[in-house]
Amino acid sequence: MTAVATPARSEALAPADQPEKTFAPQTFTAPVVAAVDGSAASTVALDTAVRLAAGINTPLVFVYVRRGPAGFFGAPVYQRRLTKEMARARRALDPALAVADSAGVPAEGEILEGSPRRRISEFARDRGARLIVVGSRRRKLGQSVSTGVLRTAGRPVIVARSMPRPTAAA
Amino acid sequence: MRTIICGVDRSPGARVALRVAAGLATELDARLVAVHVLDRVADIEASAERTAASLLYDEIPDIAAEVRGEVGDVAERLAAVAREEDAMMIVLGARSRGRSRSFLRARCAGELSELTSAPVLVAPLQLAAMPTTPSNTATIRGGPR
Repeated sequence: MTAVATPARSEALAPADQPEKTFAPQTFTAPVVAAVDGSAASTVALDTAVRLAAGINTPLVFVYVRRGPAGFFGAPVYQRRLTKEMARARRALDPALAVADSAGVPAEGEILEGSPRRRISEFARDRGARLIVVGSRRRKLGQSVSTGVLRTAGRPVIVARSMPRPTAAA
Repeated sequence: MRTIICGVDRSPGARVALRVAAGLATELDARLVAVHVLDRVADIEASAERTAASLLYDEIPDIAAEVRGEVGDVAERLAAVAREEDAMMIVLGARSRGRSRSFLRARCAGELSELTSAPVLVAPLQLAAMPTTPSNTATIRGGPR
């Protein structure tokens, strides 16, 4: 039987004159995930998300979900459409990040591809999101992104909607 | 002072909503108003208030909150209370109606969002499986930190 040389090897790998490496636990703050697409409903969701994140001292992650261009037209068309989609996503995300920055809320933006309701829920689950904020538009029954997210997210979802406030009678 | 309205009944979803609302109200330093709406004519508002108060005692005994009892259509009454209180948010629980009727899960939230400009938060039914221990309440409030 051969003797096990584990102690000698560990001494060789970690000499006494080097400081021992320690791994501090990473701090993790569950973010608020807000879906933006540049629409009026998305603007309301953005305001709600920023106010809420500032109030509960939580970082924000803005997500923009693009459907993805069809590939059957060939590479040049695909590339052109992809470039347009990415530019549209940046146009939705950049103002949102600016609003969060002006409110002093740490924020980041993510561009996702696929079905909005599915990707928003999956992303929130992957990031351990505390809340999801989505805007709501009038859609036909069963086609609403907000309802789809409500069903699948498994975490609190805030639905923000723009409504004209009633004006006082003169 | 900011106000959060929470629609409550005796369903598991509403109990989850109450816990989520209490966590948010504490962190946002907001008033929490629990509203129970009865849609039956025979019931009286005092009974609705008692129901809301007993739910508060069951779920969040350590949190200061107010109760209101209302009679009428649930979405309409919650929207009216939110308007009166100038609420920053309305919190509701999701309902499980089975797979075939799953689109009805947030029916009240859908109706409510047509009637109010306040954001509507829907607490998921999945959180109902968690017992109301202090550690789990903290998880709902803050998640891992």
